[in-house]
Amino acid sequence: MRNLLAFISRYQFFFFFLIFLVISFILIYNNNYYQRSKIVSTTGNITGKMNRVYTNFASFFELKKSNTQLLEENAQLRSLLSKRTNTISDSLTWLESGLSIHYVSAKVISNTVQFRNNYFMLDKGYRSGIKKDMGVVTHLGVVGIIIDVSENFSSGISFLHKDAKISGRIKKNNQLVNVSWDGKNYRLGDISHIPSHISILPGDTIQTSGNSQIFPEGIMIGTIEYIEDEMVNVFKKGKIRFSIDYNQLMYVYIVENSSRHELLRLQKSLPDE
Amino acid sequence: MNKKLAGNIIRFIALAFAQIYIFNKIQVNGYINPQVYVLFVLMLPFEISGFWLLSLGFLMGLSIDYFMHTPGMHAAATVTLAFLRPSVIRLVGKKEDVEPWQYPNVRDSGSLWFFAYTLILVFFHHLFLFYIEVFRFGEFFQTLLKVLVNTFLTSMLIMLIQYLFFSRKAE
Repeated sequence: MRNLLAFISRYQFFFFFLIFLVISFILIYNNNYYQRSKIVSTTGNITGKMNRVYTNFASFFELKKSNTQLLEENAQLRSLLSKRTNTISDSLTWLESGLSIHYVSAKVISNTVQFRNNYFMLDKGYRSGIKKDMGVVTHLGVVGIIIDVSENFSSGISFLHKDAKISGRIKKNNQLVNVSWDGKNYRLGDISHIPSHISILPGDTIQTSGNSQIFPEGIMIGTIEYIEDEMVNVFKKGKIRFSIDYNQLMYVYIVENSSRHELLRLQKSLPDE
Repeated sequence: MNKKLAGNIIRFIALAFAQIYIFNKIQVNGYINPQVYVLFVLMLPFEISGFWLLSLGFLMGLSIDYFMHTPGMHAAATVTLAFLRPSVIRLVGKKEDVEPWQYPNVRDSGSLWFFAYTLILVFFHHLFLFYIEVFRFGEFFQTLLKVLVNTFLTSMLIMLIQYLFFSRKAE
């Protein structure tokens, strides 16, 4: 026993190091993004407030650009609205909108693109009805998924994350594909699982499939940059250019799909194979 | 002594803020991301006890983690840096008769000494940090490039800060 104590006190520097390293690795291990809630909801309010001060200051210099963006979006929405009123007599459209999807606008207060796993923070929390697993979009396309919510803030993983995989759909022929990110260029994503008999060309549009119920159907993800030609494989793969420049995120919409829980419940009740 | 202690506290806060609001905003193509906050650990006094060296390194890393939403990553890398620091000081050549509270800097230690000291420690810190971030070896060379580029950049920025703020004679 005395020898052991002498040993520990002799190498105490090393043991302290081991203890701190183990604590760090426990933190990293728990950093699995579904279990991080405690850390963000306790520190989220402090760091969120500080980040908001910074963003308020920085966004002052971007006022002109965000103004034009909002104007563009307004115009887009107006044209959508006019289409809607034309078809108002059709009862089917009312049924469709019964699967109600609400949008909550939010401001991005912190965001990264330079890491392998990127997160963003928004200035709306559960007070505004934000919940975990809600999708985040802009008028240009898909941004990411909310993973954690505190009172006034929420954080999410953007598409630029190891664990972010979104099921997409080729617009012209409705084929399902997988979209992910390889960690290199933040403007380009990977697209895989394209059956090789499907014709797909650079410039084709990839949209959300709506299968996950996180994003509504038909939201832009990006356009095909190029397709790798591999004759041996059953599946083709390629690169996709994201329609969003993640580095420029300022205002986003959080998607609230109220029929999602109903669908999930239904899926749960299906017998397992 | 209080003045020296205050100096360390100010460095802690200033470097954390600079890291979060300036250096984390620097980014080119996802590769460049200097981690200048490690300068805090580099400039702790020579005579600091092992426990304080490690726990201050841990605290610094943790502060960055909480802002970056990456619990543990920077803490683990910075603790490793703190652990290697005494060995690297011995390797680069330990100064005899250090005064209490004297800390490594360009003015007292010389440019070459400080640069070698910075380069080695920053390299290990970045090696640890970027591989933990990726957490798989599939992207081995891509990550290695990121480590090398950022080690160079961080060291350059640290030298720049040294010449800007710590090169004049002590008052």
